[in-house]
Amino acid sequence: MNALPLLATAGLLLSTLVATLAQCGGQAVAAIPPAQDPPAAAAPLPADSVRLLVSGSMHGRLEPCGCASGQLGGLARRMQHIGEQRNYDILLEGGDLVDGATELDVMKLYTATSILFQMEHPYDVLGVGQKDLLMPRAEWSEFVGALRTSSDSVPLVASDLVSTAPDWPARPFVEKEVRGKKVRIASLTLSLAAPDETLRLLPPAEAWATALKDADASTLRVLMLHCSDVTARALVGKLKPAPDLAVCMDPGYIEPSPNASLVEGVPLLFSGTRGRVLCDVRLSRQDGHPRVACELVPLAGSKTLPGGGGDPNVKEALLLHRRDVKEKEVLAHMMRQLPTQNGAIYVGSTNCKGCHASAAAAWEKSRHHEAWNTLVKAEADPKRYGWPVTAYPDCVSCHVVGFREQSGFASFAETPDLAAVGCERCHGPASEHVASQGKKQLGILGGVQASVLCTQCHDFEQSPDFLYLDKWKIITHGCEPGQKTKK
Amino acid sequence: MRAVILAAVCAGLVAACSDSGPGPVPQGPAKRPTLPALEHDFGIIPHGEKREHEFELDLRKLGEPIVPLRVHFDCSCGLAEMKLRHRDGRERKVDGNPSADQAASPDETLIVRLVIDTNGKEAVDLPNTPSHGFIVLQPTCDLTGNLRVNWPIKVTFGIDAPVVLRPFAAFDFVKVPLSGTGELITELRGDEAHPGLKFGPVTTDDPRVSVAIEPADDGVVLRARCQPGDLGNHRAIVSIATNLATGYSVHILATWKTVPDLEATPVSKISFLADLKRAQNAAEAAGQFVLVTDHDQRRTPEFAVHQIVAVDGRDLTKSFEVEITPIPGQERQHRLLVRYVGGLTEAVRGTVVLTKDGARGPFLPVDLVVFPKNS
Repeated sequence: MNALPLLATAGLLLSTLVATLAQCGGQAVAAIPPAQDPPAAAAPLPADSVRLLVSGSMHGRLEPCGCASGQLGGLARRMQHIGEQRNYDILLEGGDLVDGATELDVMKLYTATSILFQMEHPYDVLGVGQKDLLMPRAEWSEFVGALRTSSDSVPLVASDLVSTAPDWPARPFVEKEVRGKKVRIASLTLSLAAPDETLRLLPPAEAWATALKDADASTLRVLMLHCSDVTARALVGKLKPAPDLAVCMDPGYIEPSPNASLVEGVPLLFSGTRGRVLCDVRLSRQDGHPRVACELVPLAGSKTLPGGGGDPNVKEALLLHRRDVKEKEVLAHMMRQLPTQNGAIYVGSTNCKGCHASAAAAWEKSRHHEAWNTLVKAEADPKRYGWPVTAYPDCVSCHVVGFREQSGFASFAETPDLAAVGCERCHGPASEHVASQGKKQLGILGGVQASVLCTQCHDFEQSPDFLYLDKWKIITHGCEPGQKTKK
Repeated sequence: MRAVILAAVCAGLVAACSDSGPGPVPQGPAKRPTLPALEHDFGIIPHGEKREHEFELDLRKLGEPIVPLRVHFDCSCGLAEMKLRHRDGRERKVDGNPSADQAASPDETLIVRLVIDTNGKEAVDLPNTPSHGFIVLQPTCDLTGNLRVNWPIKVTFGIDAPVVLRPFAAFDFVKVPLSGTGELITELRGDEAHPGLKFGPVTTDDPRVSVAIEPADDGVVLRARCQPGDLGNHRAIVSIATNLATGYSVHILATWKTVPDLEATPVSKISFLADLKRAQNAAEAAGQFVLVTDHDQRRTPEFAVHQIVAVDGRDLTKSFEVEITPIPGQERQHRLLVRYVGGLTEAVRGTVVLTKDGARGPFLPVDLVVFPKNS
């Protein structure tokens, strides 16, 4: 194990305790693993290493949704941590701050960039992920690009994207001097989520070389990669000059690893997703070789303080965002925008009952039946949220049928029969099934596996104890006697 | 049994590898088996103690080498690590690289080690609760990662703390202004199994936080006070000794943010786009506000506008209308809203300066940035 001077003192026990107490989110808390070098590097890191806080792929998770105890992450806890530490040299956010291009995503982007770049501890660099490019360019440029020429510009980096658009807000790299050492940070987006006539993608090796072209040999080179781990591992060894650190935003890595992989001598880290666990990285170079040690920073709250902890000013910003979403009626604007997956129309669970009495009876006893009421009660409880949960699209999405789909949930007043996790949430819109008197069978929506369908809502964060085989027993139901089901 | 299940799963993966043949590698998510979870119940762990468990997965019977990539716990409830243990006892770490040399050899067993350390947790009981995780496995023939399997793990544990802390097991002073102090109270007593527990002395790792122990009916009241210190975020640990033979101490995290007495939040800046050829209407300006607060209780909470000035010194008073309105339920806070009313021809950066008492101040500057926008 590497013995970092900072951690190898008597302060280790205390800092671990402080950190772990901070992360007590209710259910559980991880003991912070010790910082470790990549396997090939055994000697202690020099004390003058550069300290970076690494994260990425926030995907619009401004704060934990709160529907399970012990959830990690959120910008308020993140900025509290940064403020407490006071000695991060570089704050790095990989990109994909939001998850799409809806009106809500635009508002989230505004809030996130305000918090990350306009408050007391502004981030030093923001990469451009593929999801970022889905954002309407005018909106994106407005928030991250409008201040480009001013002193408080958002340091947006996309080394392999060349744009013909005059308002393109990204630059090929960001460089920062830390105690006399230069650190240059580049980012490779590597692919476009959708065709864009104004954007051209440079080959990664060319983009990297261009970004590093005039850098001193002593400059520490950091690369952000928006790709799978397979692509990252294949790519980093081919880049010249070799990066001193590569950070991959593979969404499959929910949490960052406490250990960097060494890929042809290049330390490779994964940023994790949703900003739940940050990566506290010490980077240096010794004898021409990069040295990296990282320590995970899980961002948790206290079980006894719902919503407690976290930077209070950031919490204010998030609360304003939530209220703004309600005042602007964003939920109503987002509803019924997309076609249903099978082209049929939602009919509501009441219509299913006539032929599927026993299944309906099983459903009515389940918490799925109460899904909308769960939101209503949570909103009414001042100890839980303190903001309009039933008006926030992210929350509503898992508590109704046909979220955003045509003929799906519109509002509780307009579509009360779709205000729950009803039959059609899993089985799909049933109009054709009803019209054909059951001859046109329904299955699992979109043909996905049941276990995958469930985890659209019961994911690792919202249902940390969810195991499909266990939970299916709770809601199990089948066909009525004499009915057949499609295999 | 586990080896049999794993063998069956991996046989499927290997078949998928074989099916792909020499042609293009199949893209998109493969249909993945729903696997029975590896399970372990740690039971109820006394607070302050640590528990470990190792899952051993015997991979020897598998025909196709499988690379264990990583292990993940959704709830961050413990430290999980993987290694490959040779039958001669040697061990090597799993580094997450899906290369053939990282595959388990026929002589190696996959060890997944879980550590639940309650030392760093709040002194709060936790009922026996399942936590979910998974091991990521990849056959060496899978060059894309599309055939990876997440093998679920289910771990159950609870925590039994010998004390009860109510209502708070952590002190969050939220904001402490420079002119003020923070104070919070919580109750501490032994739980049903530890009645009459004695507490003290109290130590803290930050002199700005102090905690007084006051006797109560069946325990003590902890009265925590916080001095502001320098501006910014802070944290401290309060430790309260007990007379338990184990030497158990109660640790409480304290957090706060020291803020100036006059504060504009969440960001001390109002920036917006406006059509400079005309005045904004009320709806356009609705979001152009910050919250301004005077935390100093010795003063009245009201603010007045002192000046609106550009960075080059120009008076911008005629170009902007400013409203300062109280916020219901927030005695010390007002909403400062700015509306552009015309007179500019280009972008402007400036400051709205609020005052508490005319030209004598004190003052609260709020940055103002306006960019031109075509209607």
